[in-house]
Amino acid sequence: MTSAIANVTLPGPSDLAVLSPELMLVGAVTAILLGAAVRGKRTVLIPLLAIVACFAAAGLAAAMSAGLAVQSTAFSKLIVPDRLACFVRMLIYSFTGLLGVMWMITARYRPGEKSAANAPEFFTLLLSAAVGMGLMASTGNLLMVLIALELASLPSYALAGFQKDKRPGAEAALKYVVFGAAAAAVMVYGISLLYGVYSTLDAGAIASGIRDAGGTIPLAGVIGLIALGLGLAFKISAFPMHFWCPDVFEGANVEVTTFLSVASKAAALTLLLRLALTIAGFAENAAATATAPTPAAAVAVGAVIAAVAALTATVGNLAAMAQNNLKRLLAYCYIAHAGYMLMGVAILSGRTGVAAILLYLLVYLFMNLGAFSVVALVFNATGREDLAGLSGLGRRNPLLAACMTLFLVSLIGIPPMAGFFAKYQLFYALFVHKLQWLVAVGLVNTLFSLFYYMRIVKAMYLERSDAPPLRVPAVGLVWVVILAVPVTVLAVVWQPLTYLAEKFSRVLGAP
Amino acid sequence: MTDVLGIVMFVVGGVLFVLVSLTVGRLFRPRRPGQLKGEIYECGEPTVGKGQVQFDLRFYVVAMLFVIFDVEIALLYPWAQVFRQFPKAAFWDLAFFVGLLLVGYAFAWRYGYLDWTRPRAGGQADDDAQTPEQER
Repeated sequence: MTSAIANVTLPGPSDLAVLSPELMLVGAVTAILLGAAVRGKRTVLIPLLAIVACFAAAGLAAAMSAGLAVQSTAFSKLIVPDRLACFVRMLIYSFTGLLGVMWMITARYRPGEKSAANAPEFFTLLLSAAVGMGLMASTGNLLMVLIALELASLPSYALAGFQKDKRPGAEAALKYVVFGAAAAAVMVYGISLLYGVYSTLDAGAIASGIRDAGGTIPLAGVIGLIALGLGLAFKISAFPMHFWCPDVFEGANVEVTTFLSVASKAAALTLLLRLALTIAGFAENAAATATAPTPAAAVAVGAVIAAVAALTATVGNLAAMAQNNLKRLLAYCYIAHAGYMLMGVAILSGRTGVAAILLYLLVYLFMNLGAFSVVALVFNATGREDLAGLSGLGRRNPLLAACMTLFLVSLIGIPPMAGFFAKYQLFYALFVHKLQWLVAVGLVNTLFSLFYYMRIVKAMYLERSDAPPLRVPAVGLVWVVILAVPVTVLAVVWQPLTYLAEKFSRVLGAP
Repeated sequence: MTDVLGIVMFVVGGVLFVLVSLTVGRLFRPRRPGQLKGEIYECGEPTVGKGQVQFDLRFYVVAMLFVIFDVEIALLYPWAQVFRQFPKAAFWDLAFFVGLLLVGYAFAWRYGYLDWTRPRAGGQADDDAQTPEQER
């Protein structure tokens, strides 16, 4: 018993420094709970503290990536603090901070809003989930994958059901838990099979195991990989595991939906990217440079991901056409975008693919935050979340409608907006790597998506409505306009952004 | 293919074992059903009432607390194993870990989430109603 753990090494200060953003958030959670115990639950200090901590954590992650004086692995290879991890953590934490701002603008004064009365619980769950997602983005060890995934999932379940006195909220949480538990169980089973075949939980070691076997994987290993992929597909809401998504997005309140739509997806996609690149043998590593990658296994992994990506985008876009609830519609649109980004994963090699995904995530953050903010503001003013609630918005509140149109146009990917450049970069990467059929699928899907996004625009501008002008607090309008700026302006600074993303797209993982 | 063969043999063997032993037993045993035999075996006690009663939701809190501290104990075990090697580091490690749990515990205690709420006439227990400012 003692011999098994005799060679324990203590994590040193450099290991802890790698996790400084996460420690910062954990400290914030502690401070929030203690502060609430002293100052009461409704004090404005709680959201402010959470927002400041999130931005500070994002800053720490950015500083870490700029210096990158840290070693390439930490905690005995459990954490891989490479540039990709730093970038995604920065993205997730700053998004969580922005979400805190959105919460203060949209949810804090909403009558009957549970998260307003119970802010400390809300932010504790939010920050814990963010920490879990940050860890998901920075690990290549399957044990750590599982822990990070659960750390991200469990608070998300509670967040989805935060409006526990409302039936849809409770239903959303229950569906999320049941689906999530099933997916996690399948994934653990897959991980155990992989451990049985390769006697290791480290993705890099599994990759070298595959390489040693001449690029073939035994059946148990294949089943293990499929099960692992299904668990990840649940978090990304990719094709066979996407059913939870619309129900959860509809039932949870808008802020939680926004959080799940961006942060959860960014984390899960990065995790898939890292595992796929590592296991297919494409992660850059110093030890085995230019050794021929495992052809059979790599080709199979790439083909499966490409097929899933195409199906996910198509299913999401086709289902979105029939939706009338805005949150549900945006949920299907979320599935479709997951499909586009999965196409980038399917490239499986080269920095261009990874860089395209990172850019897409960055742009997606702003478009989605903006679109959901408009939905939240309209809901606050009218109590409606359906398409008809937006009808005539062009007259009732021209500025809000204009901003919403900008976000939607960007989500479709029509030229002047940032969304177009993100999509262009992605399709270009696909084209360069000879995945023309995926480009075709992507273009056809963009046409599909034009239809339902334009339904929203049509409702806002062409449908007549006798409803009185929509009154939105000034701070809400300012917020939406501020979000519309990057969606428009990011396209102007595209060149440096591409350069930046390529700098961050180095994936470490192999031993 | 051999690794699959093992699993198939295991599954088939498991199914066969149950089927064969039940069938063989059925062929040989005498069949004398009676009312006493049809009753639920409850350690010799006569059964009272239905089995499907609604369990008091308040036990949920107790169960949750149990799980939290149970998991904590489980996580203490590897800690105890390496304690001798790094007494100082292990101490602060655990102080951090338990300290975090205690903060959550203190928060829950402060807002009365651990109280055994008595059912109130004509109203539900509401989280908002329990903030101390309103209690005073």
